[in-house]
Amino acid sequence: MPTLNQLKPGQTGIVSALRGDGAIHQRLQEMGIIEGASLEVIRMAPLGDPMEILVQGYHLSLRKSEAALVELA
Amino acid sequence: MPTTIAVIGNPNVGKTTLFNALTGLSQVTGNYPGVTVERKVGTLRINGTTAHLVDLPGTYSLAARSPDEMIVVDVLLSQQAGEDPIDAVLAVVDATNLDRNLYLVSQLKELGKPLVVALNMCDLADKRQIKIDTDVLSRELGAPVVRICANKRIGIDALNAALAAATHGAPTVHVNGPEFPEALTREVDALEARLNHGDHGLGRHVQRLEVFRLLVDRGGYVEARLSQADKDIAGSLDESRARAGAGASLAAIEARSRYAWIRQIVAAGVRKPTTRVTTVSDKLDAVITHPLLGTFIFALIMTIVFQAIFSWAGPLMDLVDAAFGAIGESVSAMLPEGMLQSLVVDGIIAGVGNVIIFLPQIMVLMFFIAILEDCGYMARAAFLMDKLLSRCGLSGQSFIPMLSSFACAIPGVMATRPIGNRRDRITTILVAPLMSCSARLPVYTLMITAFIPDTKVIGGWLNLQGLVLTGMYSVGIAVAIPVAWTLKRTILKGETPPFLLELPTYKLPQWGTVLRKVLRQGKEFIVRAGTIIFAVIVVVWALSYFPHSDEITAMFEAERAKVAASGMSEEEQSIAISEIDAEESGAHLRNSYFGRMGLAIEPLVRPLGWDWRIGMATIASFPAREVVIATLGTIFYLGSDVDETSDSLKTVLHESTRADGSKLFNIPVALSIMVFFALCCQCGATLAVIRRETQSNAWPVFAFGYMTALAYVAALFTYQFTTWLGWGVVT
Amino acid sequence: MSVEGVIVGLIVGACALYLGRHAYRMLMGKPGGACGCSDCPSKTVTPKTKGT
Repeated sequence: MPTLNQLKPGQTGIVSALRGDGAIHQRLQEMGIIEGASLEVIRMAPLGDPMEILVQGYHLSLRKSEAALVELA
Repeated sequence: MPTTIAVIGNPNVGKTTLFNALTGLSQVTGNYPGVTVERKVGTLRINGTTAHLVDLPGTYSLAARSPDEMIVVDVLLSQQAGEDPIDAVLAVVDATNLDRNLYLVSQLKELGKPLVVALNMCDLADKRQIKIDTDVLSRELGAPVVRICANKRIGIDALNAALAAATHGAPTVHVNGPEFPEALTREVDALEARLNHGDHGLGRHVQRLEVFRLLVDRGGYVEARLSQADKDIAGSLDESRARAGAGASLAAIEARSRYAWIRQIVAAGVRKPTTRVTTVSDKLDAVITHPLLGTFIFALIMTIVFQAIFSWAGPLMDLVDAAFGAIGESVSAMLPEGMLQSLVVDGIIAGVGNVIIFLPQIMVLMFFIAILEDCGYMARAAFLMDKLLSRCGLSGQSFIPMLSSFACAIPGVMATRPIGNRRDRITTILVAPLMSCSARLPVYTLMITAFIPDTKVIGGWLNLQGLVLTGMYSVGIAVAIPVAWTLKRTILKGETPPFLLELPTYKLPQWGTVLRKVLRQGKEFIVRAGTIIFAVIVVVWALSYFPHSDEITAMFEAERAKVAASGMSEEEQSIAISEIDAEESGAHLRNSYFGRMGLAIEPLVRPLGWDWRIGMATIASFPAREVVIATLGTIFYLGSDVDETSDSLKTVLHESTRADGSKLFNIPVALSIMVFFALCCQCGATLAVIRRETQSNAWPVFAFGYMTALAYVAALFTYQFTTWLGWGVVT
Repeated sequence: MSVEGVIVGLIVGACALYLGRHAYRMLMGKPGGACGCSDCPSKTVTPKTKGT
């Protein structure tokens, strides 16, 4: 199952599930990363981390370690 | 009792701008997540009655985990001490980003209070061809929706009318909020019934919203608070959760149900273009957050700021300087020689005047910081810096308070409130005061203009003075990184926090907001010079003037009499007398209470290249860093001939000598003073705020202790190393 | 004691008192607006506490 952190800038994906539990799991969903949401990776920060994505029509930055929790269909 | 309305919304939706437009209360807004860290209240006239408007911190959700979010939940539930119960809620949403913004609105539905939705940034939505039917939206949401454009003050009257209707008992259309799975609803019902049953330990009504959060947010704020009040609650919660979710995560169920409801509403009331429009903001971001260009632009912005501080503010400062020189001269001519003249000329004018000179520079610095905060750059800076900060065990979110601290550490410390984890928050609080705030600027500038040559370097592109200033600002950042790294591995051990940050759309800075910030900072500076600095300087003057022993005066009188009787030419006599006058001033100063204390501490500061006067000036600047300029002014003017008051402080410092007659100041001494002030925590207000924000006495003491130790060691190293390099030789 | 001495004594005394009050307020956690920041916590408008 591919995860969000494996995408390159310009690639898109649809969220199929979210791994993990607890606060970060909840926060990711509140920010709109839910099952069925489509994402696009915009770019990576200078040192390759964090990444900037487009989700629910806005720009969000998150680390690759958090992006690894997002499974894509 | 006046009506109370809470204003709530996601960060960056223009909530504070709308708040200003509604209440007319002068207030500052920014553009990065979490700027509204302080709860603000304003008054509003609706339908001839007064209503209180409470501005809540920006938040994405009511699942509270950070101190900011806890305040929001407490105010909404009328549990916040000192706040009236809420009668209605005004939710501000960003029209260009409705999906995510409506998430918070869907949670507000559960509060059961009258709700008004302000649809902000409608102009931007129009530009992006997002068509919103407010009537459909109102019907679907079950709350009036008003199109506004807060920064252009469009739709404010309509919003006022909607608020008036909502708070004066207009029948609200009852519309159900999101639909949750039956198992979850049933558990919430059961829990609500149990908590509000007579014999539990809370003794107050528990609202449905609170019950919902208790059940869904495992390890969240509501759970922590309620289980503290009633130990029985915690025991059965996990069972209820298992029943409600049937094994699945309740957070996921909540998010899915809410977004399903939102999708339904947006489908009915909003039409978006099918292809994504590339906005100006996107194009800007391609450059500003570009791996190479972005870092270069960051450095470029900083360099421009520091160069501008010198070149823009310079002429104005010379003007103020000259004005104070002239005032000093005319006052000394007006007052008879003696104590009072010395107090006014050596104390007040030399002390306070020398601080006021720096007003133009502080305003220039604030101008740049206000623009950066207002245009949305701060979140990008956090994005660029996250990797670096994550290596220290922090996240890019900690960078925003650090950047704000360049203006002043106090808003910086307060801007740490959106940081959820206490250890991360305290680490950020402890390193934020290392950033060079505007109060350090006068210290840097005085030392730089007096002792660093004004030469062009790198082919005439840059000025050496500006470069040294950039260096001083870098010292704070360079030291903050290892300090944070150490703290997170020792006393504040913990995992690296997650980093989830919205990158808001860039916008042109609102010049009104920028101007307000600059003027406010300028005003604060003048007020401080007129109150705290004035008071410190008068006390310092008194300590360095008295006891003003008659014996010493008599001794020098005798010397002067000797000169008069010696039969020298008139010219020779006047030279000899002015020498005696200077010696007399010095003798009085050394004999003063301040001088005696100074001689006692001199061994401590001598390794830094300082003499007792610099040492005492530094100690006296404990209330605020820029006081050191004032105390240096007073001490050095007192120790010299009164006639020299028209000379600027720069000149006086240049001419000062040590006991053996050698020049007191040289480049190593100036650098050592600057480095000390870059790293020390000579700021009573910062310590008071650290105490308040950490709710502990230990952290401010720790902050002061570690910063002073660091400052001492770094100044020692700077002085010894640069002297060894031979920079101390006067050319 | 001269008139000059009295004036100077009054000014110095008032300033010392002011500093004392300032230090006390700091210890009580009320920065009192002397910090010079644009978001002074002490300047926030808080509604009057009503008896609950």
